[in-house]
Amino acid sequence: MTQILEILISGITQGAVYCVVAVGLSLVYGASRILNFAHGSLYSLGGFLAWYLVVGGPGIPLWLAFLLILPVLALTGVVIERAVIRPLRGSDNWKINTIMVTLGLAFIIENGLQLVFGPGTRTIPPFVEGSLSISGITITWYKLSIFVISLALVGALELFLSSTRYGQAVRAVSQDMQGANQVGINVNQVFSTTFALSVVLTGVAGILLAPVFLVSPLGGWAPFLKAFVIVVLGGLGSTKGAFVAAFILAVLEAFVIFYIGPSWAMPAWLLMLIIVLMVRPKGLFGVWEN
Amino acid sequence: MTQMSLENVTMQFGPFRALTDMSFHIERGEILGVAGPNGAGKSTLMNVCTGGLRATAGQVIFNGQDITRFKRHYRCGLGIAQTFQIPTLLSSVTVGENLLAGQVFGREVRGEDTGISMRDILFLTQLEDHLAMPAAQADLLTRKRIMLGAALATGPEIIFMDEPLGGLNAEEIVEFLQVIRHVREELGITIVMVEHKTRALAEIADRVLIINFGEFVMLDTPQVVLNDDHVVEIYLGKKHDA
Repeated sequence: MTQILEILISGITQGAVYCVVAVGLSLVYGASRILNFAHGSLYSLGGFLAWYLVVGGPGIPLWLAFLLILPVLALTGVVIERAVIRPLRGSDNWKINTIMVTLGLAFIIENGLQLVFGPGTRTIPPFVEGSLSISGITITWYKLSIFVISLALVGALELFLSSTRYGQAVRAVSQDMQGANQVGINVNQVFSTTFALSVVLTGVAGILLAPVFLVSPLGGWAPFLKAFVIVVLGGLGSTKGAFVAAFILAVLEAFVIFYIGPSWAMPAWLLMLIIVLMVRPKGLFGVWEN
Repeated sequence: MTQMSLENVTMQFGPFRALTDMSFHIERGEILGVAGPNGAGKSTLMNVCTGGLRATAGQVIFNGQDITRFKRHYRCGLGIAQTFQIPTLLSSVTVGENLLAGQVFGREVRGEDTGISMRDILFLTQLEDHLAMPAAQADLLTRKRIMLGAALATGPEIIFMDEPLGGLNAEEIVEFLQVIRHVREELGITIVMVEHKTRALAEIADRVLIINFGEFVMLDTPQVVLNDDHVVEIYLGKKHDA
């Protein structure tokens, strides 16, 4: 019983971080119908920037690194949206074109990271040590803190979307781009903002998971693939769907890793995805596109 | 009094010229009908005025200001609204929230006071009893009313309507024409409407603009325009003497 609870808790804490990556991917898809294949490399970028500031370079404390990295990530998002994606919008087959272009961008970022930091894996020491034990169930303080931080991030995003004027503009654009533009919403600005937020989310997840999963230039593909499965399972563009799907899949993963083996985690995810899509082709909370 | 004018506006898409050297004035408070065969450039003309497209050459002047290079959301803020043939709605929220979106986002540029109250809009569009209804459940005519209501909520001085009657049956056409008429009469908003249903257009419009192959053909009262031999020829082909 204790063991099952421990696996469950491990899955739930992991799920919160997956959720951060997936919600970032989903946010951009929801607002602008762009599937950003560079999402995973931006996750790695966040991890490497933190590693450089905390370990490899000046050696500043992690919280300070966070403060410095957040604006860099946001700016990266704005620049990518403006320079790479916006010129394609409205061209023939622009949805496919943006996939190809962001895929290329992923390679550029990855190879850039390899050039600058070398191909090896890096790690950042966790900002808290030790663990908490309650009636035989043990969880490290670090996992507990990234769980709380992740939930806070997703909660803040939800709050932003539901109750700020800007968030309302984002929601309007994701429902009807032309209708939103018609009532005076600056659609381009919404695209830039959502992209910036998305890069911040995935980059922060990259930093939070660096002590657990290590950082490597090519290490972004696994989180990207997972985020992608979460977003599709939850329903494309649905933040709520991504939230629920992230926890379902992370808990599934924790049990599969424990009872069958780590290499079966991804097959289990994809199997789950196939089963859900057979029953609900649009995902758990998805709505049909017209 | 001239509210908006186009001066030698040309719109080029690659090798294709959708509008050629188009010049005319829109008078404040009028209902201007725009007609012409398919592919004449009617929708392009609307978009050049509302900011959906930026004219390749020439100028669009609104209240004396050159707005040729302004984006759509900014022109919306200046008081230039637009509705489409297929209603663009926020389908997951209620009718009332759709209208609020216009009020919240459309009035930024000029501040809050545009002289158009929500009460007037609800009365004119007859949406008072549907405020809490999810927009997704509305029928076509109601969807068109919601879209018009959201456009009105931005506090416009002029509305460009692209085929507002498209898809409506005879009864609904009469009803919606009445709504459009009231918008002009009660709120004094200028209306420019593209419409294929020429009889309805002749009935409601003060003046009708005919364009063909992206070029200005004529602009006059409906009586004059629709009895013009050249216009009849554009629509029906040359008359054969036999």
